[in-house]
Amino acid sequence: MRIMFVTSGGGHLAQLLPLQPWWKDHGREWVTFRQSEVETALADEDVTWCFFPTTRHLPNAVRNLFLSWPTLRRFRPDVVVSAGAGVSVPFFIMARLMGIRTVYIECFDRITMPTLSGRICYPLSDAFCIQWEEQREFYPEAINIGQLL
Amino acid sequence: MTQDYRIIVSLGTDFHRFDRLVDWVDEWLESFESPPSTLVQYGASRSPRMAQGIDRMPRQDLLALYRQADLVVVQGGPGSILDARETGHLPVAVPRLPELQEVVDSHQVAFTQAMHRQGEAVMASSLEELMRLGSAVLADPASARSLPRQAGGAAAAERLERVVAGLGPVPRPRVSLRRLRQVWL
Repeated sequence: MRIMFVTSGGGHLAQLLPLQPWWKDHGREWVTFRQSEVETALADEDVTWCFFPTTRHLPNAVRNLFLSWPTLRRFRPDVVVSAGAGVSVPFFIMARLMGIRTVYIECFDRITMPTLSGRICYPLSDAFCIQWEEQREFYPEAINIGQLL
Repeated sequence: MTQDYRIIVSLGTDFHRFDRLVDWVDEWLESFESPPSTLVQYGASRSPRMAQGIDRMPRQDLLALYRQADLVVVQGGPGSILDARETGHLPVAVPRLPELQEVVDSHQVAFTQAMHRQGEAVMASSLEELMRLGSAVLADPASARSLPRQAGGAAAAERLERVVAGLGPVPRPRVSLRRLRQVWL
């Protein structure tokens, strides 16, 4: 299987790294921010650098939408997986248009309030995962996979 | 960082200021006849008067300081709390408050409360609580030590693998109107 991980750096990326027992056996590519800690963490991985900051930043959302088309077309993932935040939105929109499946994982530290990107990606996700049962209040159809951290 | 510190305080590296916690640490240390050696990683906030200060440092260096400290005090964020737990500390955690412009919303309060309930941190919401909880740990450092916490990633990875394996071969309609209603209306 081919997986494309789309995620902000820092804590969002940190929630995908513990999933290594799962993703190490699959083809994968990362879309995230070019920051020094990220470059260290993904030193041996294939990475496409996206435009940032993305937090409520519309111009970069548009730039990332234009980036998503060639990136998805080239790698042809079976599934796009995101742990948020902003950069997930343009990639999920494009993945839906291209018939690629999408899986969103809501943030570990947002226990009692939904994130903006989570609310946008919920209707765009084939599977929407949460890490706390409390998060189901906002996402009734979510699947609780438990804590990643 | 040549010295061994008894207390390490970390405010994280967010761009919001959290001067309130630096104030509390200074006030607490002032109450000692000879204050315990303390280092504050203050991020974007002001530097401490009564302690050593550094704005930020590599995570591995911070973890090394946690390991030899008696008390770890952190902001109520996941990175800060779980880093302390990884070194076997039960940290005293102070959540940032949105009404004081310390963070964008109140998610740190909810998160710290959840960590407190799960026994992963003890929450302090006032200077008095910080002094009481901190002094108790300094009097008996072993009371705030545990085995290093393991991340929950392996079990979650198995569940996610099943979720992805269970996805249908063809995507459902592009946008779920039912879900749009659930989350926005």
